Amino acid sequence: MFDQDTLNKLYRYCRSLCDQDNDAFDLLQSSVERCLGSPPDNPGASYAYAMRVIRNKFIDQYRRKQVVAFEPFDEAAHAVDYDIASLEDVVLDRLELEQIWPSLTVIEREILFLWAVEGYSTDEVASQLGKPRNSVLSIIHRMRKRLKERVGKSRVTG
Amino acid sequence: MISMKQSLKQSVVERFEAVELDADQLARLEAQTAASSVQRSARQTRFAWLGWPAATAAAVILSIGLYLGNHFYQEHSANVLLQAIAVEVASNHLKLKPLEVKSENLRDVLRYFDRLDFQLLESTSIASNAGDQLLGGRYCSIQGIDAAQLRVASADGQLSTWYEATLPTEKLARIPSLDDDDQPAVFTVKGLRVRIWREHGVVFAEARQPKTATGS
Repeated sequence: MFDQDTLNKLYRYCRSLCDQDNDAFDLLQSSVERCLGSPPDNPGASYAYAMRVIRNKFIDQYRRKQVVAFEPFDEAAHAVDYDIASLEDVVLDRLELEQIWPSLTVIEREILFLWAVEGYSTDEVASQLGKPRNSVLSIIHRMRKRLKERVGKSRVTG
Repeated sequence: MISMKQSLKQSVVERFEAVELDADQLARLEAQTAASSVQRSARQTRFAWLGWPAATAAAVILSIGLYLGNHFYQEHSANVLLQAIAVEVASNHLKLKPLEVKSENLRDVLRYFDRLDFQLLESTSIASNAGDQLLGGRYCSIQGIDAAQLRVASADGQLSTWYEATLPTEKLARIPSLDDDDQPAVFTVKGLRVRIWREHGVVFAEARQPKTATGS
């Protein structure tokens, strides 16, 4: 069902959700088991199906552990009218990204992964996250603002 | 780590490209996948022979169950109705209420029942024995519906009563039909032998004392 390349891609998605290697691997392993036990009706959609399984399992696990706070987001207060492509103008080096990465929320990391690695559009990200497009744009807007601020600071301090 | 300014997108891509499963993790996942394939294959092989025959057998068993359930329900409902009629008929027989029309002539008696909304018939199942004498008739009711009661005396002085009535279609269908070669339903109620049947859409009932060993 999954070749090595696919397993690695799925593992990267797990790593966007989990900070720890072990947690990411456990998440991948349990998700693969689930996919093998209940395969999708359309075998051609195995990868997208596996992505959804991973996300659902992650939410279940972390909701149970209450490790991650899925805080409500005030969409009206953060209404924006731009696209995920607005992240394109953020410029930073790998070191800066590594410094910033731990401060990103799970959903911000997930959005970055889906956008940069998977090449998702705003709508596709919203669909994978199960959130309204406006909510996703609001999160992107906040993240972009913070990234720019952090990059600016690191340049000053660097 | 190369420290070179680039787009956020490129930095994120590079960050994740560096993430890979190690050989041990890959081996475990591949073993997991292989084991699942074997299990699935074995499961399919084990139950493959069941397939459609099993589904068909299940459908047949279900159909038979439904048919029998419905059949027993219908039979039970019919029996309840027939018993109720038998009790009613026996009670009417025992009350021996005064006759409203007295005549030995069947046609005269039948002519009296002009309030009924069905045609009184002469049943093929009521064999008149030698010496039987029609005494007359009166209105009564069966299942709350107007009916005709005819009273007959046999040569030995025993009284029997015959009834003709009609019932709503749904109840009528539960009465044995001589037109369909059914046999009359027979009950012993209140010391009487009661027979019930229908002919041409009319319900007939007969109540009389059962024959005893002494022939009385």
